[in-house]
Amino acid sequence: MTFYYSMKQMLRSPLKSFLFFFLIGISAFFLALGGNLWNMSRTGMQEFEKIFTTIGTVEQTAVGSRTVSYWDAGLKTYRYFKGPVYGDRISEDVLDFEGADYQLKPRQRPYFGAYVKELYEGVGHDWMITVEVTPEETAVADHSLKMRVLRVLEGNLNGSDVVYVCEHSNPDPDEFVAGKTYIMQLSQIGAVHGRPDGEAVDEFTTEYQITDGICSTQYTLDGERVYDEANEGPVYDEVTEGFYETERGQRWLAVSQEQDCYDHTIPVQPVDGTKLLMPFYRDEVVISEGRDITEEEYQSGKKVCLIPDTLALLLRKSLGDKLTLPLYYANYAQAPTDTFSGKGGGGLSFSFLNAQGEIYSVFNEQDYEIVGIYTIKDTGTGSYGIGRYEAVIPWNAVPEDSWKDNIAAFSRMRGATTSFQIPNGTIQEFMDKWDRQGIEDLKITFYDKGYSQLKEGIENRMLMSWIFLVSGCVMSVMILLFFANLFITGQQERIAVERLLGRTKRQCSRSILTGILVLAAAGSILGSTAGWKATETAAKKADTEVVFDTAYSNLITENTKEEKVYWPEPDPVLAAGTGGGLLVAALLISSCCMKESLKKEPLQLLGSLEEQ
Amino acid sequence: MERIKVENISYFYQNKYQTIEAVKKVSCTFESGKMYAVTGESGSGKSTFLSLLAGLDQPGEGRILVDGENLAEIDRDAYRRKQASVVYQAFHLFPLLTAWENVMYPMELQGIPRKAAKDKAVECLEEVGLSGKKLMQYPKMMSGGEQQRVAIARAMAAGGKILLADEPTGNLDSENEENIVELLLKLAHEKDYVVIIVTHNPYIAAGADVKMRMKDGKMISIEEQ
Repeated sequence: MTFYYSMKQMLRSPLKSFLFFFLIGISAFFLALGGNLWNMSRTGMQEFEKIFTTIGTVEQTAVGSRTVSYWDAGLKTYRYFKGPVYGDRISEDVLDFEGADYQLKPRQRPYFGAYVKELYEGVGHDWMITVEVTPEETAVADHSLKMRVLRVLEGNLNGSDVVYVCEHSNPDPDEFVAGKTYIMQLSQIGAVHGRPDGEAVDEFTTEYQITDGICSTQYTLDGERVYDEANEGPVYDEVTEGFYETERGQRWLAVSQEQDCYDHTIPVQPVDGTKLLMPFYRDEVVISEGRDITEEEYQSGKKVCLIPDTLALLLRKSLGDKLTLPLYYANYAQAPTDTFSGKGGGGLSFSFLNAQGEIYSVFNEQDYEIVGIYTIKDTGTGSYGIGRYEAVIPWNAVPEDSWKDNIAAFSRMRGATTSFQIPNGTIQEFMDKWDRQGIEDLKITFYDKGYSQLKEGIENRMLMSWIFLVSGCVMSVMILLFFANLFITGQQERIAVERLLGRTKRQCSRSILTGILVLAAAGSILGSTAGWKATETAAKKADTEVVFDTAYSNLITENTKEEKVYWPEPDPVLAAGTGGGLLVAALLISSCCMKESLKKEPLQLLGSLEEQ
Repeated sequence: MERIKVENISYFYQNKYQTIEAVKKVSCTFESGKMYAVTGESGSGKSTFLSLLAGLDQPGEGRILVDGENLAEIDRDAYRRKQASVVYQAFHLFPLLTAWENVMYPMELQGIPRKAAKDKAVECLEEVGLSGKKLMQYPKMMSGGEQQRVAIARAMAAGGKILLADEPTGNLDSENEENIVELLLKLAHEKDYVVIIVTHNPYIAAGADVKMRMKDGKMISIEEQ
């Protein structure tokens, strides 16, 4: 009966009722649209936070350039090259400034060399060859000097082979005496440049250059070169009776193990987070089996590792297996790929000998559980690529500075060796603070996979959703107040008559509110459903699929890729929630008005009506 | 038969500045089958007295007994639903309900089924002289006299035999006034209603069975006619 009469009386003022229903519907539409957009943006943002990582790389830049000269024995002249000049080495500590909010602190990482015996079984190479030779004539090796190989300590040569040797870069070479035996390290340098008298040697015979494999490149942790007198002497020796019992002879025996070291070394990269390594960050390598090293494992220094599938195949290892890594040198100067190129080959710009002339001894040996095997999709560019057989381990797995006596190379901070992670969307804030430090000669490059642009888009969307939400809320309250006044406060006579006819206050409230709430409910349901559908349609049409650039475009314009992120679906529960919320607001506001109207006793109500 | 007994009631209007005693120690009785006219000048307290009889408020002092029960101790909403009906000068009909629905309303409040309520409403409306298309009209489409008939029909439909009317002819022309008074007298004499009319219309007062006069909140005379 209450429902019947309440609705009857509402519907007998159709214009007002329709207007109320319509406006409530519009409010619910805006609320559902705004709420869903906001929720989608918020959820999207949370998802993006998981997907995106913002990393910075640090490179000490050159302060100028200088001309460097090299003697070219072939051209009989110096050749000049322009090279960069770097100032004093800047420590990573300068990046630890106040206000710097790091998720992973900047660190100039070395990579370690691990000796793995099973890695290679070959005949040796035509570079870093250690041989005993005897010249066929007494001469200065300022041209292709014919020498006969007497003994091969290491390398792809045979005894009695003839080689042409030139001290190609030495403007003042010594004389080699025919009949004497010399030990030296040789590397091929390409085509023969001929003798000074113009006599051509055998066609297609290549020339060897004497290299300085006997010299150590050891450094201290502070980046100081450890003194080695071998660096000041000749890079070859005459072999006489009992030579190998001497210190110098022992050093040459050590030199003869360098090819072996190179062939059996896998680079091991200790790091604080996998994404700090550019090949992983750029998805040039993907974990195809197992999983990534977890944040907890990184922090606790758990003995776990990631290895490439090629190494797993070679060593017949699979997930869960242990890999023993005897670490014997640390290299701060190069990235793994500089020495062990993922493309094959590589080059050695340091020595495996320490300042005492010995091969570095193992400073740490532990078993690492293989938790992930990765596949190389792209070997990357320059030093930012992945190294051959590169293993990744947590930084904390190796005792800090345990490699201090095994540093084979050291250099300035480079982008490929120094990186850090900051919270997404804080690049500008970081740079503002960094700029205030006034430190020059350090270039910080950020990579955020386009998060900054995406975030801006999402923030615009959130602002728009807030406008919808706020306008929906304001509109709802105004509409509810207006219509509560019209349907309740303006219905004094109806209330008075109902009380007069013996209705209790509660019955009276029900009678008046039922119609209002039924219309409000209908408007809310329709409006919020329309809002939800509109959000769904808009989301589908606009950008269900967001394509974005992988680089922080203000700084990087090359080598970028596209990635896709999918927006979450609009949530029908949220739309129902906004509709429900509107209904609750309608109930609260109309109940308050009703309570106020019922405060007067019927006698007072009638009295005031009679006066009117 | 005595239906209402008023014992020494007083009523006070209070605001923060003053207290006005609108009804002062009034005592009287009302019997079935009679029409009572309560007269007096404006401000004499007669409308307040009627509202107290309708249970719209309680007297500050004294008591009103209806069929021997103290009005202050019973459910006054139920009393108005089932026993007493009030008719006002301003009719107080539901503007968005038709004449028929206005009359059905109090019956449905009592839980009478819609079909039965409909029949009874038609009966009551015919009794007050309204039928046909008039039943489907909204109050605004009707004359003052017709609206007052609907109000009386509604009071009759409620089923209570106490009918209280506050200046029921105040907004009516003389022809309609006569008809309404006749109708009310008929209810009292033929249907055994207690009809109490507050009025300062001498014509109505003259037609009543008992004429009561109030002044300054006091009942100064009660005359049987």
